[in-house]
Amino acid sequence: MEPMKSARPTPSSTSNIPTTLTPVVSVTDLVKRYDDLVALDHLDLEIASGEIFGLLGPNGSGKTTAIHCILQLLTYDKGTIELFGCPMTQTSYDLKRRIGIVPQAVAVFDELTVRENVDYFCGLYVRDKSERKQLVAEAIDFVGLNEYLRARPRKLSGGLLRRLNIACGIAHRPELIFFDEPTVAVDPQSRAAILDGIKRMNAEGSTIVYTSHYMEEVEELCTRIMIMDKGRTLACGTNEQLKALVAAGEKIVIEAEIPEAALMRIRALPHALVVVYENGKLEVTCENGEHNVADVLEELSKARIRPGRIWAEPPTLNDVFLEITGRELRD
Amino acid sequence: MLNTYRYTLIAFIRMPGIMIWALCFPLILATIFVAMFTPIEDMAAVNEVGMVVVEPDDSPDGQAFSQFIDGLSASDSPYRVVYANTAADAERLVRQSVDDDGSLFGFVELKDGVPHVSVAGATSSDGIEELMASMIVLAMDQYVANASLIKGLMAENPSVLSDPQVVASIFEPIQATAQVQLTQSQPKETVRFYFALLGMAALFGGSVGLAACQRLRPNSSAVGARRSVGATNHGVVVAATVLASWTICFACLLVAFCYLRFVAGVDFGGRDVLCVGTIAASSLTATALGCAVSAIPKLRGDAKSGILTGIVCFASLFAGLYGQPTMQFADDLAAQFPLLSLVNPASQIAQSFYSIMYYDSLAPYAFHLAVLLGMAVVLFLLSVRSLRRQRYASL
Repeated sequence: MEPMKSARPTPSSTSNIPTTLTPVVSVTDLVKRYDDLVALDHLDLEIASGEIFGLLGPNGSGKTTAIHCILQLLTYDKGTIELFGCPMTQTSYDLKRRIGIVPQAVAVFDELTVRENVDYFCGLYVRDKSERKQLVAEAIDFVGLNEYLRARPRKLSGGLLRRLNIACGIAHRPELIFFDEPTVAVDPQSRAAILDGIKRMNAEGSTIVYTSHYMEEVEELCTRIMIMDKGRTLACGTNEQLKALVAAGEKIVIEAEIPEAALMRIRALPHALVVVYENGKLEVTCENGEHNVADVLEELSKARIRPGRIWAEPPTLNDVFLEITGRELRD
Repeated sequence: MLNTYRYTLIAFIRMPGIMIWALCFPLILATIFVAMFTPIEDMAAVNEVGMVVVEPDDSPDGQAFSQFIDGLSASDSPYRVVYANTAADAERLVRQSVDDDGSLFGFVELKDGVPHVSVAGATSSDGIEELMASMIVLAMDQYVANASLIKGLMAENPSVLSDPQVVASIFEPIQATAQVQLTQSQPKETVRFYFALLGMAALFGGSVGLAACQRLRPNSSAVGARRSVGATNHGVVVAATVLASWTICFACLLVAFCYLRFVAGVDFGGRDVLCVGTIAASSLTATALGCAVSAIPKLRGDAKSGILTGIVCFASLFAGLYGQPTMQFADDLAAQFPLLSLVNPASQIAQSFYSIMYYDSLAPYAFHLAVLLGMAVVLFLLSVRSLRRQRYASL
């Protein structure tokens, strides 16, 4: 994706530390019920200007519901929602002008061309035709759809369609952009382009709210992450803060032929959480500790086993996510 | 507003389903109607009655008959006479005509002072030959009656015949029946079907309103949700979308009207401006109907389309679209239960065209127009709550 000319001042910092005192998004005690099901259970959320805020959670955890409530598409039972320090209502058109949304489902007109679609959605925010012309051209350039200006959506591949969806959401240069799983069903190249684009938009001053199932995306992109489940906040913090929250430490991987007796001794190590041995490869997930590798190697040495390759991986966000939300399958 | 209006128009023009139902379907049906009704109308019109007359001899009867035939084939008469020397020649000419253009329907030969008529006996689907043969027989019967009258006068009071005026009056056609134009245009049974067709076509335009509303509401489509979070006042977006729907509906109906009026030659009483008024009002009613159907809660889009199609077909039945028996049924029902006809938009649209064509007064037209506009207001009111809504309990 090409760089987009910014009309807004670039914030002094895009670190994980909030840059302004007034949060861009402030949600307090939000409750949303679908009959007996509690979709959002007293949710609190604050997002500062300049953040890339990740919303993580299993299917049905309430991520999209939270975004829809913030955007006033859904009614809610309790709670307050403020954007840019002002209460958000369905008629807050001045606030809506500062917001962009890239919805989970591609929301474009099948009958309009790429250019017409971007122009239409940009026109919901920008009335001036000449200004809009410039913005539309920049947005199309930004997502790299210049070669498809006259193409209709049904002629576009999944990745191109997602990029069109993004162009429609960002053409008016919003200060706050909600990306609801924008990389679902796209190829790695398109995904990389989309993520690069989001980073650049953030660097140019936009605050980003990003939901995804892809842990590596969130880990790479987000300055702060909230893990949700069953409508509740389970954890919130930076990538490092979240990893520090869980017991899981590094994962030690050793290539070697290991007899059952030695495996039993490794499983009995006090810091070993999960031990898996398959096809000559031993994986030991350990608690946070200082001598985990040495302890495992010592057991191998006692069994007179000469290991092949040995390496250790730090815990990933995926490990954190599974530990916090559990490993059982969801509906 | 202009942006939404413009792109809604473009989207609808490129939407095949809308164009098929709102534009192509009425044109196809109109073409079928034209193909069905034109022979019937041709049959009702005065055609040329071609016949062959065997040259009469010079006897007094022959001369009188010859004079009668000359008068019968005068320039303003529908009869066209071809002479033959013998009955065999006359028969040959008629047979040849049957094989060619079918313009000669029989021949007449005077025998013993009495004309003998032989008809071709050919038949076609429209039955025109039988009608033409009857007209030849009718003309000859008139000759026989006149000749009988003159012979009677000669026998009883020959002096009367010395007065040329009396003789002339005998051969003058009797003007016992005078045709008086009571309505704006010549009544034609078939035009009612075209009016009912326009009623159906207009209501099918409701599919435009339905599709437009489905794309407005957040709980009906992703595009609807996306538009709801835009910074343009939702009322403005709704108004522009409904206006675009009406424009498409109006344009499609106008094309159907122009096709019927100028290509198919259907008579609308020569008051085209009033017809355009009916088209505008019926387009608005149809758009409102589509909006109202879209406001039905807890139904999927295709179910709503099915309901709209059902309403259109049902309403068209009571407007008499599906043939003479249903037209009769619709008339009987309207006579027995006028309220049913009053609340049937297809019936009101057809009645509106009917009143334009047949009545000098504009009062019946204004009444039907007012009913259509009233229906549009009621239907819009039914959908306004749904159209205004931006937030839902679930999407």
